[in-house]
Amino acid sequence: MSSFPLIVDVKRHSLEDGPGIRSVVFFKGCPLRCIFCHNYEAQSPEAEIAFSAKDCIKCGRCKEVCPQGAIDLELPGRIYRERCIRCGKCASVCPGRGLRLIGSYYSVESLTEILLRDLPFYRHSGGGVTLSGGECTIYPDYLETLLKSLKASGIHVVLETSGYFDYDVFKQKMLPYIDLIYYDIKIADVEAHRQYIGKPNQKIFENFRRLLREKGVKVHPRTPLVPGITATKENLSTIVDFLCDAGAGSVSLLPYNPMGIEMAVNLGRPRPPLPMGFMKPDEEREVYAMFKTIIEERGRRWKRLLEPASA
Amino acid sequence: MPQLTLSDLSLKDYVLTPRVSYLKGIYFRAKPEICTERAGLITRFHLDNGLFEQGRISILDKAKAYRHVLENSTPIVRHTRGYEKGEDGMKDFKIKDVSLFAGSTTSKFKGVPLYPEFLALTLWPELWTISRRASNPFYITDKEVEELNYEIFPHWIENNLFELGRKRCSEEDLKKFKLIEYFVFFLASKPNCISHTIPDFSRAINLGLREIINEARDKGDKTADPSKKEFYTAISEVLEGIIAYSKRLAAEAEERASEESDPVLKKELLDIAEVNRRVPEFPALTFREGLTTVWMCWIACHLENPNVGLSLGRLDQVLYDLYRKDMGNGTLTIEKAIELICCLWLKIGDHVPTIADTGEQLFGGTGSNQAITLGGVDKEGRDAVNDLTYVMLKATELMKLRDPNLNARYYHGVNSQEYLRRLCEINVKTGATPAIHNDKAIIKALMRKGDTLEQARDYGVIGCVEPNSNGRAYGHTGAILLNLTSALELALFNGRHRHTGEKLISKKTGAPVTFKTFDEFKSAFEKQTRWLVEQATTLNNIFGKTHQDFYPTPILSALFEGPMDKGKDLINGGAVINSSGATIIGLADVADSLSAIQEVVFKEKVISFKTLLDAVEKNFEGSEALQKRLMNPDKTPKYGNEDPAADANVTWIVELLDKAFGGKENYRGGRYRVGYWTMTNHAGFGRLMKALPSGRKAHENFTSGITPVSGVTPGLTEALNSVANQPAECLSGGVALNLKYTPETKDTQGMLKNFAASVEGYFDDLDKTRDGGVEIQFNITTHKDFVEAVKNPDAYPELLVRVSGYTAYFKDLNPQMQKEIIDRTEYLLSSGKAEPYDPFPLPK
Repeated sequence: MSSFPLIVDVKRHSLEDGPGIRSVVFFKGCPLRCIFCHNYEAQSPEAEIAFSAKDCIKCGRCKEVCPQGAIDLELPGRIYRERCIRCGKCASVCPGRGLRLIGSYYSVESLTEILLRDLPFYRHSGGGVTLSGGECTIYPDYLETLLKSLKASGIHVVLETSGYFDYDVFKQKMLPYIDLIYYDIKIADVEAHRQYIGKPNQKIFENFRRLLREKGVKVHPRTPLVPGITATKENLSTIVDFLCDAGAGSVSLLPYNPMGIEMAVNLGRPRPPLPMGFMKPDEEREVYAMFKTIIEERGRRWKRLLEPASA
Repeated sequence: MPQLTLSDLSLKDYVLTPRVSYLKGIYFRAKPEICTERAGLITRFHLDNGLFEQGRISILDKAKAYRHVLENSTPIVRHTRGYEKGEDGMKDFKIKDVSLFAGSTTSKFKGVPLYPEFLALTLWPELWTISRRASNPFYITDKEVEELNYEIFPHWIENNLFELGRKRCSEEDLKKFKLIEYFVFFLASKPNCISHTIPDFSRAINLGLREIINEARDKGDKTADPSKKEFYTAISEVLEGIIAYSKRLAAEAEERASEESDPVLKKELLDIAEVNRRVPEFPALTFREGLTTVWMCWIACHLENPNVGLSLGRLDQVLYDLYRKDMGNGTLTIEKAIELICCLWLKIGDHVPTIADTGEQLFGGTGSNQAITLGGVDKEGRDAVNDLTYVMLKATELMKLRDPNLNARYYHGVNSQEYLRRLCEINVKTGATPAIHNDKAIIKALMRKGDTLEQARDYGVIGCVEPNSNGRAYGHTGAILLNLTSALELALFNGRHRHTGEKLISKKTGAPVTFKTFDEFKSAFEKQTRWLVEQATTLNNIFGKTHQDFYPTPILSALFEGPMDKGKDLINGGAVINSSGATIIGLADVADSLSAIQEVVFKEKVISFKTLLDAVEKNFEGSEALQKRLMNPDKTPKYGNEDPAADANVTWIVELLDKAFGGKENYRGGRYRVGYWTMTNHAGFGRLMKALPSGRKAHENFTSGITPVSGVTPGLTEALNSVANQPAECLSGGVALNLKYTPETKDTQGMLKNFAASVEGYFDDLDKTRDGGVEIQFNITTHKDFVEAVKNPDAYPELLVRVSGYTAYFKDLNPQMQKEIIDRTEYLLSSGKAEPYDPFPLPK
């Protein structure tokens, strides 16, 4: 992978990606292709053009500047994606937020500068920076420099990962500077994992076991709930067995998030075959009740069970 | 005994007592009634004593007039009826008044006092219809209308402050006067009031008025200066009047008690009589007496000073010793203390200001804006938060009143984090109060304006958000309300204003189409701004001198630090601190306009100045894409996104205004200070003004206070940092940063923790690399509730909101202002992101 990562967004004042008030960096690029990805904009490592129909006033400036003739105002998605070379000219002339270029490069210095701007908010809330994606660990060199620079300012760092990384590189370049890892354990069955996520899961599960034995870092597993795919009794039971066996004390269930669907469409991808709405409260309750039974069946081996939100 | 003994700071076991529940219920039910008593007594006194024929009115004449009112107004111990909306106009309802305090600002349960010396005459054309007007009607009887028509108002046509001010104008000054009549440039508030200040209650409470009279007599005897002698005599006159008023209340209470058969009610009346016989004449010995002293003085203050922004200051400080003493000797309980405070606050809110129908656009829905200040540090810099602070906060939480307007001070590192969290919690519970002020930044700002460290630490908040040293600064903080977008207009159109047509209003500063650089445009804007400041301050000084000749203030001077030592009325510079205040409307709209011009015309050269001006003149019709671009923070720098260029333009403007106003001397020898709080004026002025280069279309709302423009700041911390990076020393007149949060019910403790952390982060001076934010205030109500409340106002009688500065009831606001609040950027605290709502459509 390129060692010059693109960044989708730096989301500030987040309260959902670790303790306190945090800035979250979404790196662009991921080795996995989860069908239920909730951040499609961060899958491809390349820059992309997103189109949002509700923000378009059809002024036609994009069409004027497109060197490829790839824009058609009558097309629902505006762009003939096969002709588009992602030069970004259309996005730069778009007066509103109809066309946006997804993915910008930041030097470590400029990114650090942005992340330090919220120091007063980290300070008073026990917050910090969360590195997310995509899969940020695919940029080990960049991350190493960034992490060192954050640590030099005493910033608490959370890393969100799919676990699909080369362990030795991770351990050497990133692990020493991370305080807390949110680690996704999505599907226990190898074949299902390959089918819905695009890669087998042995590496992810093995990395998790190894990570739990490391000192100086907290690792917190999370399972995103996707109706019919991850939120099944069979999958959740097997995951709990694995977590118990690996020695994890808790897991967070992340509520199903359908926001990725619109994002996929805006990027000109096929619409993923997933439910369009959030889970209804009673559906959610049902899953938690089912999960509770799974935990209880395994006795008191788990000290605590973290419910919906992240830890 | 430590200042803090409470184990539960939120006092969650305490609820409204039946007494207060009942009083609150009738308070919300009652509509305001016009009271002619004060106006009638004052007018007759002027007639009887020939005051209208004099070329000026001395402080002693004034004092005698006020003593006359205090000795002759109706002593109201128990109100018996109020008025509510009926099917055909207003109808009355019975009241069984059980307040723990006697006395009333007016003769009505919820009264509109009239000050014919000021702008009461603006009500004249609508007296017969005011009971039935659509927004904020006032009840008035036919008899009272007749009285005003024939016996009161005619005498003031030539004798109100506005006309008296006009009469002393030279030809040249009259041109400036014209600007007031054009309306779009600035408002001069002296024809309406000075008021915006805080009296010093501590001497009245601790010494009693008798002791102050003795002091005045001594000082009067010792001085040979006839004007000082007259001043001290006047002080004695008014204080005797206040004492007499309180004793008349005591007598009335005794008489009522003698007729009362219910032993409990009888006892309550006798208790009132006992208290009012003693205070405010003698030092208050109990908490209740202390509160009564404040109340008696407060009624007197409003006899003299119109009910516009006169403020009570640091009540948790001046009353704390009495509270502690009573709690210590077991004569007071927390429940009783809360009940007393609730009763007092209902009394404080027993009046509303006169707003003529024409004023509804600018001020509709306003109360009297009587600010109370809690917490912070004392003069020595120690933690001033005490048990009484929390008791008063609890009363705030329970009452949800717009008036008094609660303001809390917070000093990071000295005040506890639990205290800050409690302030946030009350904001969540009330949806709108208290406003939170950053002591560190404010103390620094006040000291840069010449206050000593002790004076600065002892600041109280006035009216909306304005910090002034408590009881010693006569700072008329809202003397000038300047519409900054008019300065921009004059710069864009070379001295002309689209509102007043082709005529040259100010100086020619060059046609922008000829400008080669952004600096040339800035320079034109600077010249127009300075011109406008010159006009506004000159007029303010003319009106100030008119006040000196016709409206001395013996009552306020008796209750203030400075006048008693100097032997000089406040209006002549008797106070310790003598500043004046201006507040600015349209900061963010002007700054974003400058940034837009800088970006699209000069830096990126996307369009010429001519094309931009054409688009602005046509209200962007046919230039929709340009307008979209100008309003897009990704494409055009906008204040509130940490964009260095956009934020630098804000800094440049606040520094410019600080210099322009700060260089002007007022009529009392003080300097002008500048603030950024706009009340409801940003909606009112917005409605009048045409499109701006910022992309704002014609007649849309301007932005409130120091807040970035609604809808262009998607990130919360970016917005907070942009504001916190502005120089506090230029903001000494106070600011309102209005934030809107979505109420989150899932994790209230988590929300509170991060709420407080956001405030702390915004206040943080980052190891002195910046000043940190000065003030922050909130609206925490769901978008849905606001929209519902527009449709069905009667279902939301108590929906409290922060406009830009003071608190108001949403239902009382005009549609334009309701829209402004609904359209404010709303952040979800848990994600820090703005909720994307479409602009609210104004009802046709």
